[in-house]
Amino acid sequence: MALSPIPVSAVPRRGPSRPVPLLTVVGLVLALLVPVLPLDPAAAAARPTLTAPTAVDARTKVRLRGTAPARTGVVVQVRVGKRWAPLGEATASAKGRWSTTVLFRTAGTATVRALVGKRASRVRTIDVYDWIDLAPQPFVSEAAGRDVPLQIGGRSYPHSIQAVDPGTYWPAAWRLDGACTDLRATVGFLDPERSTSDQDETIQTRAIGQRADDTNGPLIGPVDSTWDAPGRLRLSGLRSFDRILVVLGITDPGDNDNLSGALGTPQARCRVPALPPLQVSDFPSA
Amino acid sequence: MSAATSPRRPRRLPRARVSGGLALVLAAALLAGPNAAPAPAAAAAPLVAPLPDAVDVGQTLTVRGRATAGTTVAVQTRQGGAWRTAARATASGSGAFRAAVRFTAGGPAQVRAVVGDRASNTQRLAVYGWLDLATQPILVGSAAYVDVPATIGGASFPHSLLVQGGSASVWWRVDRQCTEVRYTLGLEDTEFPRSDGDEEVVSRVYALDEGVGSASGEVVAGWYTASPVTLRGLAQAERLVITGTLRDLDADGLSIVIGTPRARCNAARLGPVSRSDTHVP
Repeated sequence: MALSPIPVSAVPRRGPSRPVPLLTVVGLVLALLVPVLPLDPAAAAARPTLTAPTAVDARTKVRLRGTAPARTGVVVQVRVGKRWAPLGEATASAKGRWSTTVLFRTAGTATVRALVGKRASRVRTIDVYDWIDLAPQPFVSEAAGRDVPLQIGGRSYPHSIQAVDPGTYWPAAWRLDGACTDLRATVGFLDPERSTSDQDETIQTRAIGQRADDTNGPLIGPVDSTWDAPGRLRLSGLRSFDRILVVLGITDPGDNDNLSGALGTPQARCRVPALPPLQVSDFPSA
Repeated sequence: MSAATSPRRPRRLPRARVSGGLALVLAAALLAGPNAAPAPAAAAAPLVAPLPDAVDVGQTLTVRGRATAGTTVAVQTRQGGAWRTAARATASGSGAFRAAVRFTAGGPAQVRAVVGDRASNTQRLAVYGWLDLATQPILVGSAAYVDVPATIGGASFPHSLLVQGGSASVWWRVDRQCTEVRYTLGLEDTEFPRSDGDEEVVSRVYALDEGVGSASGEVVAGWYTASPVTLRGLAQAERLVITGTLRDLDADGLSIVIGTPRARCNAARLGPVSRSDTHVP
């Protein structure tokens, strides 16, 4: 409870024989008030504020801003489990504004706040996006080599997926649960298999997003890949999809059945470090 | 100001006390033995005693050795990356030290002790941990759900493989790093309504080196039956293959469940498996 100033008239007087000097009363009142009232009442009363973007990229500097009592130290904290850990520091300007840059290293949802003394701002959540390799994630496909380094068009692609005997229809699917925005992969033939081919084949790649209610997004593609020109599969706007299905098919005039197709280093930009496990019910038939 | 630095002649100690002091010095010299050397200016390099060839992840490894008496010894470990201090100990009056170390991941490890900037000899050992094979580089020979939860007989099996198409072959490259493989064979409970109830799945696991090194016996599982499969003695195996076949298959889309396949390996992660690895000698 804040103390209100005591009017001098309210101080009882003991009588004319022993008048209490006015200066003494004022001194006593001030002495009582000084330990209770801070020097800057605004500093104690104002909570810091925090303004943060709602989505950022991992390993990219992010500027956080806010207000705080002038010239006070502000600590930005991030929630780690049940505890708060320091993320950055700043000092509020004379006008009571502060800013600092911070860095999030991995994908996930970061919960942050600003702290001045023991007074905390409102908590903000920031979605941190990063490109995660899809090859080691739970997935469903036809015959496949998973998480292998492959050579496509003279370049190395670690963490790739080899479509074994894909024929005209080879699907691979992941569960995204709306946590991802983009997908990218290089599609092509395997360099070590070039000598076994007449090199007139083409891989056609299509992709489609599926929502939780089993409705589909627009069909993407086909993206064509030849021996000399691997295809670049690029998907965006995946946020509304719960699953993503990528389908390869080899158009093979020479009818070479033993060729592989390859998804070179497929990656998705997600706000989770790992995708959830699939359920059989997600894809009734592999 | 002490007596030793006083310009005055030092006081003579009583004879009895001098004799007692001499006796103490002599006794100390005798106790120290003929090999005792004056205290070194800097700590000597510590020494780590031989370690066992292998430990398991989570198991306590006691590291013993010798260092300059009273010094603090940092016991460090390395598994592929930089040296990390895993424990600290103080060398006793005799110079012996002992520290407990635990590894949290599998893979070849090195252990050493450090005092100041002096490092000991390096000891090597294997650290075995159980790897979920569904999360490793893998080659599946037919349509498959990889790294999914499965249910067999009401029991949950995380990190499983559900292979469709009536027969299954799933390959891993173990490169002589593993000793044992385990999984649970079965049929997926939720698919029972689509079956006519009399299907069975049979399975084996093979360890391959230059030839077929070893194989498990044939294991059979029916509906709601979880059949454990174990194959030991894989130390020479370069590749692993689990095969499965559905019998009496009348319904489409039934899955063979390879429930939570795991291998005990001296590795944090298996190497990639390529199509050329799938030949059978």
